[in-house]
Amino acid sequence: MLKVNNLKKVFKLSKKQMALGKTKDKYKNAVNGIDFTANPGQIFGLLGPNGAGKTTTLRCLATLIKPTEGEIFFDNINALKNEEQVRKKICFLTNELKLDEFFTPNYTINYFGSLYGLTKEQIQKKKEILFKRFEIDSYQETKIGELSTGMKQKLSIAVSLVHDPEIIIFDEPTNGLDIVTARSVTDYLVELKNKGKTVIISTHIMSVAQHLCDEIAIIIDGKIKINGSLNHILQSTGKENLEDAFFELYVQSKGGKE
Amino acid sequence: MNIITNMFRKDLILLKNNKYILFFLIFPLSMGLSLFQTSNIQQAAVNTIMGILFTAYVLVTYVFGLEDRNKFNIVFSSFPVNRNLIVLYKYIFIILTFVIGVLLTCIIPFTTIVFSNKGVINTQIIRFAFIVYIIYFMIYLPVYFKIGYYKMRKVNTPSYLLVILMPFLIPKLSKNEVLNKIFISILNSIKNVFLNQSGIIFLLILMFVSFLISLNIFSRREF
Repeated sequence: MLKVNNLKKVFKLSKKQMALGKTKDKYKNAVNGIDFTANPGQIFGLLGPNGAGKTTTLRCLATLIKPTEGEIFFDNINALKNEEQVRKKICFLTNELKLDEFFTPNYTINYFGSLYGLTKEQIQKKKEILFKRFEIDSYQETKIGELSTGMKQKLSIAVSLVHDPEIIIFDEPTNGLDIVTARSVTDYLVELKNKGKTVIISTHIMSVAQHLCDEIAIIIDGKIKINGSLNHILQSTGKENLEDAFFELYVQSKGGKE
Repeated sequence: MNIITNMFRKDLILLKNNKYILFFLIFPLSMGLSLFQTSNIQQAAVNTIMGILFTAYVLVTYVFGLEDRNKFNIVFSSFPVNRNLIVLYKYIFIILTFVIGVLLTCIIPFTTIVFSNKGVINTQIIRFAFIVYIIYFMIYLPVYFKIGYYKMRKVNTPSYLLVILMPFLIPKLSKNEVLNKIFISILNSIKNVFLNQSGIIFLLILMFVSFLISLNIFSRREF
């Protein structure tokens, strides 16, 4: 189980960032006191526009950045005090990451498996399962640079799952993927959920949140505006679909202006 | 140790797949070939330094550049790998690339010395190259850990070339003999200081301080 209490992250802006953001403030509250809980056997989605604080939140969870305030617990383990212990339990995947073009899928899995301290036998066993699941078998010795975008994404997912993590954190898992690969990825997330894993994703795509997530937190300007099941969100906002509910909250948070 | 070995193996694969690898090999080998042919000690010194330092620098920056492009430090930081180990590996890698540079540059003259007693390998020159290399990279690495390879690349190569070429260029460019003599005497005294024991202690302290600064920077770096 993942529990997040009063998470805050303040970034100091460079002059260039201040100019780009057209602001005179030297600091930006990227995440401003958010709380949520994600349970095993559940897909939890952070839904919000660009710059809302989704990726910052996920990076805090993945221990890549330290929150300015707040607490994160993975199965009662304080993530801020036990980073390495937590990293063994989680995987973090973002589209920003690229696998080295010169490596083959076979070598990549071996390499990252060894970083997790897995034995050769453990890696081999896991590799067989993952390659079969993601249909990478016949590309095992093909250089990554020669693989299609979809196949690269599948391999990234396979790499991140090599150590059988309990908590899976995916930043925009279907971003930039073709419809077939996107479906394959979302199907796999459901499989992981059904195996009792905790899956946390960020997305700005309404349909992904609506169809995939058991719980959705709508995040705008670093704050969670509403958190709960799709039904709860629709009932609370009095809207018929997630998109309308989202825009209702978005307009409210911007003081009635879009 | 297993992680360090794996990291080095990964870097060797990156280097092996570099399309310019042949050039990387040919340059130090040709410098080595000239050591076998020349009897001019000064020319041999220039070629040895150029061969070693150019090769080591290109290998380091190629791997660092590729890692930065692939955001490899983010990947590593999300893995249960101690960040101190990542820093330690980079320092080991710097030394290993120097060793590769020495091997590639000296393989030909070493062979000819063994078999035909021809050629020049001056260990003092190799030590001098090591000193220049270590001083440069002990300053370079903390900055690399702070801002990454890509933000540094505009100043990397010019500053490195300046460091390598300055001892050869200044006497040639300057026509003032007095200035030249002063420069050469400064250079010689620096060389003498660094080639004795106190110089080695200074280098070790420099490496240790640089390593501590890098550890401090990288442990707090956010991705």
